[in-house]
Amino acid sequence: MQSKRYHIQANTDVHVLLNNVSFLTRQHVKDEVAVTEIATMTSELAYNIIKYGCSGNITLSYSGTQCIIEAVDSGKGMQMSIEQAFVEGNSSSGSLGLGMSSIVRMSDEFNLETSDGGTCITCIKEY
Amino acid sequence: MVSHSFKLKPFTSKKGCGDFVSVHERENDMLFVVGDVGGHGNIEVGALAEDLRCYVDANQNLSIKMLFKGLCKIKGIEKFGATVFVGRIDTNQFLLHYISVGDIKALQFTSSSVKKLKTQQGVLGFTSPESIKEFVVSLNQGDGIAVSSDGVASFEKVLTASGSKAPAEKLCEQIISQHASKDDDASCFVLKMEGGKQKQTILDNPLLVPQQPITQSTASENKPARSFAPVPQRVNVQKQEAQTHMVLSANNHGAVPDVVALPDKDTFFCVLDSQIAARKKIMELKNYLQLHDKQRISMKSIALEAISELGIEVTVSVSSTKMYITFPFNNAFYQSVNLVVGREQVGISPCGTTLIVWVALAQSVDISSTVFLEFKERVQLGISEENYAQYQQDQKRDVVLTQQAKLASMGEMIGAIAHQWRQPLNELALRIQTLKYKLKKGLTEDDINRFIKDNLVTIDFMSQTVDDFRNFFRIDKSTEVFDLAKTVESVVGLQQAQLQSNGIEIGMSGATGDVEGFRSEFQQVILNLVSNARDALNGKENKDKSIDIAFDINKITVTDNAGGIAPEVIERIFEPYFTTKAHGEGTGMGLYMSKMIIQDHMKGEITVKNVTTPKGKGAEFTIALPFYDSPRNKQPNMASEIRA
Repeated sequence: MQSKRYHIQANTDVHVLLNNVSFLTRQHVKDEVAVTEIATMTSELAYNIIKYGCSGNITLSYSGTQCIIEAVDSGKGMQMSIEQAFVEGNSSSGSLGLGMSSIVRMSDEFNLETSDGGTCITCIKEY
Repeated sequence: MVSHSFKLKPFTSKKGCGDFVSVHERENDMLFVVGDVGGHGNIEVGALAEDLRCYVDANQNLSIKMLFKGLCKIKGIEKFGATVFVGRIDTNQFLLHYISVGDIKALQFTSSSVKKLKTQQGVLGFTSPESIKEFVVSLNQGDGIAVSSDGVASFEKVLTASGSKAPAEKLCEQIISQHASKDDDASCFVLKMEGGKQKQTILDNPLLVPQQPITQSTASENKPARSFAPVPQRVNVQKQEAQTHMVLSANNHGAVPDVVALPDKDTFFCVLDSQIAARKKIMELKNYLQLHDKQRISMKSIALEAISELGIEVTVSVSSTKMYITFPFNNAFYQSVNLVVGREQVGISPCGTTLIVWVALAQSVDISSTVFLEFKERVQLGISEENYAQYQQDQKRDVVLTQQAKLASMGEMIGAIAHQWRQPLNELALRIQTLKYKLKKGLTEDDINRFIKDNLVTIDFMSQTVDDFRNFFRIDKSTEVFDLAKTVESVVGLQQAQLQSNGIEIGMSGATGDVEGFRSEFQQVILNLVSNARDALNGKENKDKSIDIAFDINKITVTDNAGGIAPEVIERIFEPYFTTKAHGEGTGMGLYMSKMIIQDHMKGEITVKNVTTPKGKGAEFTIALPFYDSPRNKQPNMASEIRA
């Protein structure tokens, strides 16, 4: 399994990550739609870290037929109820509130763990 | 979508049972709580379990976190302690949200695997966790969740043996009968995700999809290949009834038809308004409904006769067992119809104005099936099967293109904000740099206060820009009454800096009033018109480039002096995909969407003409909206004047 971890603390970190993610993914994934979806999910997760978590890490792992994207932040967890966080249009940061449900839609498997010590999201994308 | 079952096995009696399960289903989600109070066979323990269950029942609408926090505070929990699993299934997105604390077994099972769900250590009332962990897990069709108290021994084998196939109820029974401890209360809850998980795509996003599907009508001499008619028009029955009152006076002569109910509205199929349409559509129906030749010929003859002799339209309806044609009653015509189909297949509507003729179908038809609905749409459009396949492809492409147009307008606004922010950012940078020099010269308290005040004003302005942007893209769920000019000003305000940098002056004048409609959609229309004017002006070498917006109470005109629109294309600019911009610069959807918003959503009109003004020749777009009955609008002199 090949893994690559990116530390996210500022917008520039996100730009670096997004510049790399498509290139890295294309080495493992041939389907351009899957590449775009992985890049989009990574982008949403990375901006979520900046918006809510202050800092964190994004790890991309590729294993045969799966891409695992793990986003871990050290923020204060979800400020709104966890159920509301997945309803489109709800946002505690003043953004459009479309990110989480988009990530769920694009994932083949989605897991989230959150508490006031931080949030860990794991998305698995089959390719 | 979700099937579930739960089972409780008390150690002694129900009253002394410390385990409890509470389940509540709503339209889009299902809450389930499995709990276990410490101890068993004790009435106090049973009473506490009942209190916890009642609390859940009474507060089922709370979020799982709030519910969990509430359970931690129930009186008596500090005496016995409890473990609990609070879960909520989102049946739309197939997501399980849950909190699980203590010795609760929670398993997720699929057709090929069983895995433990994460849980948190602790006991409510004794060692409640300081930081509550919430979990979200995605599920798929056929997946299941099984949760049990510690009175049930390891039961993974039950799930691996038949988990994906057996119903929830059977699994529950097996788990309790095979694995419940004899020395403790035992409880188990099993749910299974059934029915199809709707795989949503980005196109399902309500922000990006038009509220009304774009439809295509067939081309004719006077119409463009695409029009804005959303659905085929139904026959105006009232109009038909009005036409036939005079004929009814002759009713008592000869045989009188039986009174029968009009075909249900849901059975409406199409309207035959010409002989060609009648021949073609009845032939299509004959093939699909497997009518006998005799049935086809009789229905066709009556329809053709009615269209040609009486000059009226005929409505065709199809129910699961019958095909009907209906048209305004005419006594003489009724006698002829009687001869063609027989009295038992003709009737008159209860109000005596519509003649109904029907034939029974040899085989029943499912009129709600996709195949029938597609057939109906194809016949209504009057196109061949081949063209219908193309039409369906076009429909899908329209959705994508409309989405692109929306994204383009979002890009447009982001561009406007970038312009809007450049100047205040410069201001902030300059003030910060100046501070250093002032420090050398001697910085006073006044300087600091002014520095703070000035910068806050600038930051407020930037913040307002972001708020305007957010309002612009919110989803209008219902209509509202809004001030026409203020709404336009909020859009133009965002574009002001961009227009200035292009050397374009924008002026607004007239008296404003209230209108009713979808505010942010209306703002998108204004954005389109102003952006189009700007693009047209950028291609010209005018010295005085200008866009003038004039208001009336429920009317607005946007005029530019970019030379106007070429006469050969002015009639077509509201058509979809039509653009005069260079390849790659315009989607050709902006004005089409504007027309849909004004015409279909706000019941108004948008028109365009070329005009000559003192500033030169240009195009003038006029939007007229329905008059809104407000005190301000009734007295035009009360309508406030906006800046000239």
